[in-house]
Amino acid sequence: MVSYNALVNRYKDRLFNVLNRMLSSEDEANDLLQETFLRVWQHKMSFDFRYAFSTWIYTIALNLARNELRRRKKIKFFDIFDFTDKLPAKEERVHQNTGLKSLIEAEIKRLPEKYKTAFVLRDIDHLSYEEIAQVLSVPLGTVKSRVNRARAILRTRLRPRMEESYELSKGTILPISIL
Amino acid sequence: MNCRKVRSYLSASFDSSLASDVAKRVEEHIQDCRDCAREQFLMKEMLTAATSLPKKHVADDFNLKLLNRIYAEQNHPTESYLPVEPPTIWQRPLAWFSAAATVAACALVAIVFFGSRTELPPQIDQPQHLIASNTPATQDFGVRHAHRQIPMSVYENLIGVSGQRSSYRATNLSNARSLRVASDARVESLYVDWLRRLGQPDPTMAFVRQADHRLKFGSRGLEPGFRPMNAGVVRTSYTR
Repeated sequence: MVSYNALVNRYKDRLFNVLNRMLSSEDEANDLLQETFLRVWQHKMSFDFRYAFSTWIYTIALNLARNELRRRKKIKFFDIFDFTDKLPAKEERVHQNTGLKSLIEAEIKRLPEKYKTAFVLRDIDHLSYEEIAQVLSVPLGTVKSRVNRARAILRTRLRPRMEESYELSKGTILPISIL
Repeated sequence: MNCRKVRSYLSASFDSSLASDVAKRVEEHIQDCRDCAREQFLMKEMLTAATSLPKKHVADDFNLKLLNRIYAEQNHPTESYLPVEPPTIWQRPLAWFSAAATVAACALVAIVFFGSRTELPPQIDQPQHLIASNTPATQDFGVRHAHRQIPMSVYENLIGVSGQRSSYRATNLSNARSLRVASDARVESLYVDWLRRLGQPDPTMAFVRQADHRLKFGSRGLEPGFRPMNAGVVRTSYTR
């Protein structure tokens, strides 16, 4: 149980961030994270030691996330507070956060699922292309293509904001990501 | 090498996955082409920003909750999440207190909200029926047109789903395979209308708890943080 705890501590934050970005909901990410570790515990005997543990646990977590996303398409949830007009519209809320990071975060959420998964695993979680290919069970070329496509989409969508920052950054030595 | 080709290589160049001769030609081109240099700069900044996005941490008690759940699973393995018959009220002494509190709360709300409004339609006071209307809400709840009576059973089929996304929804609805859940905008609007009309929180709490009980005892149990007042609404075909 001590080693299991160590495994949980090693992966919980990384997986939580991936799930959170996939599902755009901290509570759901927390639920699925717990479910992931529970399944790891329940199926520990079936783990194949020829493969990396990280690949296995990411596969479990992402499969759960994909099931959840698929289920969301079937069931439409309504938040009562959406009817109360207390909060500003979502678009408004995005524009209130003018920082580039907030903008990138918002645009990542808007990416199609397969591109989002590839981008998050590669550019935020820094998994290798080979690991991503194993986790997603797709060919290596497909992973590269998806990452490339995700970057292209993000670059296109972020271009106006980044061009603006680029102009501002001309007179400074600061990276535009902190403007 | 033209600009279009170079830009298609930009992403790969950041991963250092280009062949050395191609990488060299790309670099040479970028040194001569301001537009491509700009593209490279923007791509680099975007990826830098993405890399340094803030990382969130799970709650401190995550491990404890996880171990508790594993322990619970080992002692009471659940074949599925299918709802089972809830225990009778005789087996739940807390239910008496809950029922008394609910009745008191409903009475209080009825007095506060309806006691001072003389123009309310008489049906409001009848517990076996609820009044629904398609007309927009006005300042006065009592002024309604085109009333029609909706049987209580319609509302009983509505089950609150935590807007806080507590483990309630994930461990119950998502896994309750016997539930056939479908959205129904009309019923949802009626439900929201009903919540507004009766006033929050007490009548709603009572109702959601009532609906909630049936799932609660059918699954692995709820976590204490479940807050039905943050409920979204779905309609299910699940019946007692």
